[in-house]
Amino acid sequence: MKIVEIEESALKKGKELAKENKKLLDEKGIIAFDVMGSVGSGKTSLIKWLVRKLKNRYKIGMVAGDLTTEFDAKRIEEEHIPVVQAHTGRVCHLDPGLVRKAILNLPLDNIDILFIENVGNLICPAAVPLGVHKEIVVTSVTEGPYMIKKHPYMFQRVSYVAINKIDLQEAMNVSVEQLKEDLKEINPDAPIFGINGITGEGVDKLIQCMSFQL
Amino acid sequence: MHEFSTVKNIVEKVTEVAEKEGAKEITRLEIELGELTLLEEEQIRFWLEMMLSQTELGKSTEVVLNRISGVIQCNICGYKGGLETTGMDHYFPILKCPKCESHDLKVIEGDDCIIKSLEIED
Repeated sequence: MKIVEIEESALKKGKELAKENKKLLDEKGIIAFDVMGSVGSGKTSLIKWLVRKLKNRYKIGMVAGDLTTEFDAKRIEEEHIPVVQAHTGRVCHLDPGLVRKAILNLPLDNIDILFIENVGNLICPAAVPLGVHKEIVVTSVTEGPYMIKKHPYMFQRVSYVAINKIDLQEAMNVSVEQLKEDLKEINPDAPIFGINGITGEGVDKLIQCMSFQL
Repeated sequence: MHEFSTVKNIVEKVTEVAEKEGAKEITRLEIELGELTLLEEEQIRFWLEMMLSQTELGKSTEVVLNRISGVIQCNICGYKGGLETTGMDHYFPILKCPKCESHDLKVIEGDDCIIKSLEIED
């Protein structure tokens, strides 16, 4: 009978990969954003607006994460920026290894800002850091009034929150102001903005807030 | 949630270590599970026992799971200690200083899953 001490993290691999991604992005002078949110919350719409509004000032690249399809990547390709699609298969979130493979297929020397669109999911992506600089979460009024209350782990760790589909708040009987209060309780430092992913309303305010990063 | 892939990492590591030690059997495995990971204890136990039972050395391993509470240090008031859940009716602790309510914290303990040790028959 013998005791063998191991004292090793079972989560080490993922953490190290994320660190390596961050190192690579820093070396290339790229600021990277992980954009998370539920299925259909408006992640791609927000990214499309951000790209439209920023691409004249900055060189932008994108990694689109999805299970097996390419709808999101194609929507951003319409903006004529380099996009790589990452497929997770049946996995419900991007992981740093997959992201690394994707970003190595981008022209990194020619990119200032990288948007990574995560798989639609408010739970798992929060537990799997990709090695980015900032995290944005998109929630929408059509998800009901409890999204922030129900997912504190996600919302308390992100840098920016966008509440999408604000034009539908009355129809949905959801208060954007209440959602802002819910966020303040767990993450008072994160700016939170109401946006309309179709018209682009509210996106300028988000960009203004992000500007100190850019 | 990611119990399966975490357990896969654990089983790979412990079988590698046990084989290196020339073990005939892994009699006991000790794991520390931090409350601030999103890993659910019963699922970790389930997958561990299942995956170990499918290895040569792990057919009758006793799995010991120790739960580690979250410990934070507040960068504003210096408080060092545990966290509180809010009255929001869920079980995950909110990362907020219980003393001064600042969110400017450093996590000292409880955000990892550590493979502590093996007991082997050699």
